Amino acid sequence: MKYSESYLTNHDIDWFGIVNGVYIHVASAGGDIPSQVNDIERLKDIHRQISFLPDIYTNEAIEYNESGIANILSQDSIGLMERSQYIESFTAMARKGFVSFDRTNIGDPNDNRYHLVCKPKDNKRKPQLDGLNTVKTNSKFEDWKEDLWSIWINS
Amino acid sequence: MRKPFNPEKELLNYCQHICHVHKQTVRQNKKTGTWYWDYPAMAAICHDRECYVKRASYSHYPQKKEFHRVLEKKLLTLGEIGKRSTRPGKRNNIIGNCAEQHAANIFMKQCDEDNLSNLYFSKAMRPRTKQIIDYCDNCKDIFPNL
Repeated sequence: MKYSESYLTNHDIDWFGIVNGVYIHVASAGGDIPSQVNDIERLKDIHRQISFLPDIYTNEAIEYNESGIANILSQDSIGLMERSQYIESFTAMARKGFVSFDRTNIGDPNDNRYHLVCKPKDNKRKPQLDGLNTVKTNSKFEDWKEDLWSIWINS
Repeated sequence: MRKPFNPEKELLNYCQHICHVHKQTVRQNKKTGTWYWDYPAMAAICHDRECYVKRASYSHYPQKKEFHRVLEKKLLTLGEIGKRSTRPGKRNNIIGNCAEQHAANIFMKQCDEDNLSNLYFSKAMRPRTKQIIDYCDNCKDIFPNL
C-alpha cells in the first residue's frame, strides 16, 4: 500500500535507495517520495532492519557538506538551531554506510531538490541490507566534487 | 510565583521528546501507525498571552477528530476539513493537518478558550532538524495572532 498524500505531507519520512551502487538515505521533510520506494510495508521493514544495523563507520570517518549545512543554519531566524541538532539523524545514517540527503526547500513539498548532508569519507563499505530499490536522480555519484552535492530526485 | 515560559524553548524540548520517542518506536518494532514511527513534518505550541499555559501538537491528518466548535467553524470557511483549501493565490494545504491547528484545538478544548484572538503560538519547527518553518496561509487566515 502506498502512503496517502496527506501522510506524506504530514511526515518527515526516512527513505532509502540505491543510485549507481551507492546506498542513499533521504529525509522527505513533508514532500513527495519516489514511486519506487512508496510502499508502506516495505519501507517499514527497511526501517526495522536499519534500526538494528551496526555502525560501520565512526564519527571521524564521516564528512559533511559544510557549506550546505551553513546555508541551512543561516536561515534560522531565532538562533535556537544548532549544527549538532541538524546533523544528528543524518550522521546516524552515514555511520551505517548511507550517503545522507535532506530536502533543500522544505517550504515547498513540490521542489525535489536535495542536498548532501554527510557521507562516509571512503564510501566503500555497504550496509548489509535487503530490499532497496534503485531510484532515479540527476547524478550518478561518480564524482564527489562539492558542486555535485545538490541533486534532483525524480518522484 | 510562576515564571512565564519561553515558547521556543518549550517547543525545542517537545521536538527533542518526539525524536527520542521516534527512535524507541522503530527499535521496539511497534506496529505501523504508532505515534512517531515517522517523524512528524512539523510541531508547534499554542499558548496564552502571558505564557503560563500551553498545549503542543504536531502535523497529522484530522481523522475522526472533533475540533472545538469555534475552530471548526473557522476551518470550514476555508473548505472541507481533511481536504486541500482551494483559494486562488494561496498555498493550499490540507485543512486540519497543521500542528498549529491541532495544538489550538487541544488548547481550546482543555482550557475552555472560545476566542481565536486569545491564542498565541510558538514558531513552527521541524522536529528532526529543529528548523523553523513559516506559518502556512491557512493558519495565518485562521489565527489572528499569526
